[in-house]
Amino acid sequence: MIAKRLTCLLLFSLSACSTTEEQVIDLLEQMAAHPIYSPGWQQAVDNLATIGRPAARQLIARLNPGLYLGEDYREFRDEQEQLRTGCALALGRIKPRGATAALKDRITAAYTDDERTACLWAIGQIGYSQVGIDALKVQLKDHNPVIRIHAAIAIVKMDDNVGDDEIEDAFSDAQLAKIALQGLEESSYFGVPLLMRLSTDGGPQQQALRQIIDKVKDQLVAQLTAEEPVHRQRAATALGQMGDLGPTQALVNLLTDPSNQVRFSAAAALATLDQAQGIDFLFQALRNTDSILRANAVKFLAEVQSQSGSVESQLISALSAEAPLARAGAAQVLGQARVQTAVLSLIEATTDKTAEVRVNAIIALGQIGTGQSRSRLESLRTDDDATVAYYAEWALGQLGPS
Amino acid sequence: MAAMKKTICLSLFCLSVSPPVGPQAHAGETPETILIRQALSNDVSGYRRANSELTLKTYDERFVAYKGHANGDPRAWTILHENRDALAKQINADLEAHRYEITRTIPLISVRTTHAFATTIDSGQVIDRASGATTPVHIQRLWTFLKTEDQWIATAMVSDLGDALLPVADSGTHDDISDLLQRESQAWEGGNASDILGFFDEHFTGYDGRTTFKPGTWTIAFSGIEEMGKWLEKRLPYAQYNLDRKILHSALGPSGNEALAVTHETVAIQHIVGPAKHQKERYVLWTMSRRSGSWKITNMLYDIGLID
Repeated sequence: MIAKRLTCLLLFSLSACSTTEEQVIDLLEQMAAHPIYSPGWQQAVDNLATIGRPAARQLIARLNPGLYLGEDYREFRDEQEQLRTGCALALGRIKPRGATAALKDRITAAYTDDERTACLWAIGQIGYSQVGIDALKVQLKDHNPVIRIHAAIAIVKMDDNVGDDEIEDAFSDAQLAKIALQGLEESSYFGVPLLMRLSTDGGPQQQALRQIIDKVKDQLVAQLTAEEPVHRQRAATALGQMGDLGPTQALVNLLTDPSNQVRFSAAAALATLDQAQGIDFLFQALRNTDSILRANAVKFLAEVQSQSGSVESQLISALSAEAPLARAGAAQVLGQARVQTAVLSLIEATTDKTAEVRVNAIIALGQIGTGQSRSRLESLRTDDDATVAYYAEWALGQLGPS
Repeated sequence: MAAMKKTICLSLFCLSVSPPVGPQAHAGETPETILIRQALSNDVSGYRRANSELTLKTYDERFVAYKGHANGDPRAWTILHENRDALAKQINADLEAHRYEITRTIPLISVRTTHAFATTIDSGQVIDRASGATTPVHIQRLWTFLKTEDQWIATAMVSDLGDALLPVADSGTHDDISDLLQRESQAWEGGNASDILGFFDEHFTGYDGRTTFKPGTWTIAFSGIEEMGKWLEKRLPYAQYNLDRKILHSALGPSGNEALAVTHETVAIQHIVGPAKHQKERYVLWTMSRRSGSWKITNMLYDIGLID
């Protein structure tokens, strides 16, 4: 026994000059040699995650029960559980997209709860894939509420809200609420809409929810400087949804970001927070000659208006702006956001000297769908401009029979 | 590569020449399962045609036949024939006395590299050639196979395998078998791979029974001594084994050259690089042979699900 320990110490001391594959094997043995969730086991998981993608192939292999035969035989089920659970957690941190197929096969009732929850967590961390989300949805019907809540959280991390009811229900049980809170904290920007909704529902978890919201907000502010534009963009959007003015300056800094989507998301977030820098940015883009920038401005302004109503008066004013592009764009946004209070201004805009403005005002009236505009639209059916006449007909169709 | 091509060609040939009543294609079929199905089909065809030569093509010369006595518990099993010659005598006598109108279904074939096991169910009737009396037949068998030179041959068969655990008669144990198995357990505690492997036949098969006595859930864990050796090389530097083994049953063949045994044991490991301990109790089925002079383990089925 002592000789064996010395041999192993020697093996570990030589590990610095061993191959990655050998390092992974040593760490897997460390994982097998320590009780699940003990410090030694956790350290092995941490070190495997640090190795990263070069370790992924060996970790994915350890998920498969067929591996534990032949030269990799392990006769103890609890030893397999230690390895499978640890490998899943390490994979969740490495995030190799190819691991989802192997992980989703281990979330069924044939596996232990530790294995299932680790694999569910890892699938969520790796992110969206159709095969992953299909498998998670099945687990929402599991008899075990712990499995259901882990599946629901993983679904949130895939930017899908099909598990939201399960998460809301979890807040009536202290143990499940703890899992849900931790999961929402890990869900970063994907969990923000649900977090904000839950925070207004009342109940005993309000204080805990506030703490999680604060933590997520800090994460999101840090993500505003992330290398990947998609993280900066989503973090900015989520900060807008949070309604907290704290990160205003960080969002303003993103208005000069190299990525279009990041700039517009930051501007939309600022506009949602009723900050002039964001609103001005979007309205300037609305009259830009670059059609892509204008399209982005319309899209983001419509979102801001739908979510917060904070740009309503500016949009109505913009119908009288000097630049025809701004007038046309404002009409588009008012229609997409279905702003009822803008109907009279839009009717007025149907007399605009620029046909493009008239067309967009008519489309907006069709989208809003109020009978108030019927007589004006009927008169526009014979407009000199064929496109105006065409959309007047279309808009009347949207209103339905008088 | 050449061997693989040969195997594929051979399996395609088998399929193309199979008679209409022969083996049929099944879902999940592989070249290996097709060949095993063909071997089992040859055996039953030989019985139907009273062609012992055809039947005996399926069997290895070291073939051992066991009688299951309709019991899933191997403590009730006995050894019928210890080699192919003994089996051949029995087959010739059977074919001389009886006509076989039987069909065979093959519910399970499980393959790992060069080793495999299968179950069959034979049904139909056996007709006494002298009296014309018919006896209905419905018999379940468990087979083990070894692949040698691209051919799968049966190395053992348990006839009349039961699908329930029935009572077993009190049985004794044989000293030399008990001694062998106790020495094997001590070798694990010694932690020397070559000492452990010395107890095993080169072509032995190691199974994991997954705590059931039904072959449908078993898997082959080791295809021969080489694979087990590789496992021990990986395992023993990291784990100290401790075994407490009790020999529950052993049986010898008519000539005393083949044996089977059932043990109950507590197996535990202490990991070398950490404090984790793993322990479980398990039943193990063993078959042994001393055709090479000393007793060697030919089959080892860990974790067969039995009840006390």
